[in-house]
Amino acid sequence: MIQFDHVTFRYENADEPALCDVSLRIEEGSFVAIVGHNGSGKSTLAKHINGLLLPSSGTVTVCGLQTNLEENILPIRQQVGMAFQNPDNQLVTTIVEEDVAFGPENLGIEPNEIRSRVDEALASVGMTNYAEKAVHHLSGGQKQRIAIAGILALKPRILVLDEATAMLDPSGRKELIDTVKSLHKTGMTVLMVTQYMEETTECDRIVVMNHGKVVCDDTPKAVFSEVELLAESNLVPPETVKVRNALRELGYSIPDSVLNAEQLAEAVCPLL
Amino acid sequence: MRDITLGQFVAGNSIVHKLDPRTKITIMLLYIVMTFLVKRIYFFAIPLAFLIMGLLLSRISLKYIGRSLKPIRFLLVFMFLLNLIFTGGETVLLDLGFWKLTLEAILQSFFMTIRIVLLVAGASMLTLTTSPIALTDGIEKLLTPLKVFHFPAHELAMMMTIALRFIPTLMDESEKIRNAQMARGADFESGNIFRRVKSMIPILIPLFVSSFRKADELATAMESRCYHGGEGRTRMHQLRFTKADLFALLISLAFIAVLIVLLVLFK
Amino acid sequence: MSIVINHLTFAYTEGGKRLAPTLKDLTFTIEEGEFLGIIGHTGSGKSTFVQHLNGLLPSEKDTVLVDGHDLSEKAERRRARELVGMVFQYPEYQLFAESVAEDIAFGPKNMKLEEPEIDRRVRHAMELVGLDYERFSKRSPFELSGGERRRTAIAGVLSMEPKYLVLDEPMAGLDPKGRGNILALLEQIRRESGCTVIMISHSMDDIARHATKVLVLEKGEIAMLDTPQNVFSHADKLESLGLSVPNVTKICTEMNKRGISIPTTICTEAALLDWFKGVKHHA
Repeated sequence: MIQFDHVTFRYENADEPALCDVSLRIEEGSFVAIVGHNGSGKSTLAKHINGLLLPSSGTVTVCGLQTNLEENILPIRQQVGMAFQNPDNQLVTTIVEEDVAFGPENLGIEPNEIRSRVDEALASVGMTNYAEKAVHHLSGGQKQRIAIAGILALKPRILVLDEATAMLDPSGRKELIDTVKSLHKTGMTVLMVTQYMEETTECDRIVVMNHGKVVCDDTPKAVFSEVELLAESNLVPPETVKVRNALRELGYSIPDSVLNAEQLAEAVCPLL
Repeated sequence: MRDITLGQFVAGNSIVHKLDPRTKITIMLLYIVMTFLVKRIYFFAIPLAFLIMGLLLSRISLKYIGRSLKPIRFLLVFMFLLNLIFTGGETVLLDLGFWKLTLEAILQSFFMTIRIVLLVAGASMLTLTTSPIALTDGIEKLLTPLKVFHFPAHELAMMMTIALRFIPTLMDESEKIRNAQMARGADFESGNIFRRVKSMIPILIPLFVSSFRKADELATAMESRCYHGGEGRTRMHQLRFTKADLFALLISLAFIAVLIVLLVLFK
Repeated sequence: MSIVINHLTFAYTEGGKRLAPTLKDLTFTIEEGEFLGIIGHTGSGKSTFVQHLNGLLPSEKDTVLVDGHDLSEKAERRRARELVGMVFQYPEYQLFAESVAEDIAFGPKNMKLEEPEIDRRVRHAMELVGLDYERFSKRSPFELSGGERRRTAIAGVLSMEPKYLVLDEPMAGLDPKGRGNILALLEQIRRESGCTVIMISHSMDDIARHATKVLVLEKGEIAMLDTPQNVFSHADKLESLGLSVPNVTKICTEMNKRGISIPTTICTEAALLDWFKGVKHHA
């Protein structure tokens, strides 16, 4: 569904390329996390998916459309919804429902159809009661859910979250992650760019970026066991995994599949 | 100030609230013409009657009109005195030697003051009964014919929309920056004007930097949501021109007609 | 010397009307040398509370005393702002000067210090936050990376050499390496200058590891004030307040559920590993 073929990208005046010969394939319906420290190239990668950035060399193909063809850009952006980091800087209008309508309005959709899309989108993020509220009275988590609703109103097949949880408090983060998980259950392909490894334990797959390259691409349990690789990439595994690895050093044999507190207790108690 | 996005808007369900914003803007323009057509003080009765009618229909409390006049009260007094002092005339009521108080001056002073009060009260009727968002929509639609002359009607309306959206956010932000600089010992309260302006720099620069960043991120987000200018764009909320709108416009025209007839008769 | 909070109540006003109080009758003392972690749900009054510590919000007579300075008086407030350094959320948004060194010198200049003393403080603050003076002092703060900007902003507060350092979520939005840098910095200044640290954080793991005392706020009132071990052992109560517990506490709770008796006061990785070592030793 998303295909990167030998993509290299260099920002103007930059010495090092931000993406370096990246090849990647993402299947329909998958839930993929892209992790890396600041400057690892993970956001640059995300911005290639909907043609906000175009590869210096190589190609990106989304739903069969190549991003470097001008006429493909609008159809691609309609398929790929993208939410960003700062909840304040991606909402365009004052009133919640007007903001959600912004995307479909750009596509020139029939007013009645926009109305029903807006209602549907607000319902699926659980914000129906806020339709006529002013955006600036909402919490960070609520703003991000409105941003997601604005994307859903475009009826995309792919949802890209570019560090959308980074500025939220724990409850806002949970709100957003729960919303995204429920969307994934309805068949949405989700790509989550993040630096918080805690958020990635339930993904199908984790792509680890470092210096513009994909350094690891595997299931969470396999990636979290790559202790050295994570350290080299300036990443910290989830707290529970850190404890698990430390206990292993004490001589307890705990399998790779242990990723949360419950599983850890389950694995370690019989050994005591 | 925080709710500046709602401006003075007082939500309501009256017939005036429900009128199409285009109608209300047009009526506002007709009303301005009306007040400027008036050449004798007693003809102000016509626009005044029109205003009172609007006020009654909108069920807006008189205190809101009073509130909108409050900030210009000194200007009104100043204008009144200015006209009183500098208007000449024949009918001298009081002669102080260096200056004469005339009946004409008194009439002229009242005349100018009433005109300004009527204009401001009328304008606030528009903003009290129409949300800034509806106003923006109305302005965009009214200006659309000017697109033939490459007038950027859509862009103008989009700018107003974004400004309304971001004013509260920027207000919050400037408050935060101000607190942060005060915590570092910045003093915004003492010193002469020059010093005070200079002391604002640690607030203004971060605010500008933040606005640029916001603009950049917002542009990216808008692009991602398929924004490509006004071309082929539709709106969820359609403006609807109803019978009530037609009726309101006709009444306004009738008022102007009556005024013109009176002006001609009593020339 | 200490910060004494004495029946502090505070309500915001909007449009001339007093809103429901954000802080209700808080009374407690922050002792010198402590690392006080403040936790609470969004809207619990955490940020409002810390803004009282250097008089950014008005207080009544004798309700906030910093080393005996009553913050209800204007002159005392100015003095208290030199004693209490305040690092707000996303402090890099306050940077304004043309160079890193100038920005860091803003606080000391406002304190009307002598030029050589200002220079010494700027160099020292940069050293503390790990920004090389030769490399960074002349650069514009706006061309630095996110983590470097954050450290510049923190140096701008440290250069005032406060006795009490208040930080409102200083790690928000940083990557794991950046977070580690800030926490290490806090430990270092505590060791070197005995500075009292007061930190609001959403990360229970960080609070468990670093705080010597934890204040839990709920709707403007003190819900708990105790050592991290004791606070986090009340997992049920914290969860009812919409707060989580450190990961290690979760592990201990799960182990207890499975019949292994392990004290729930264990809330850091180090303490947990010690417990396991003890078990091994016995066996």
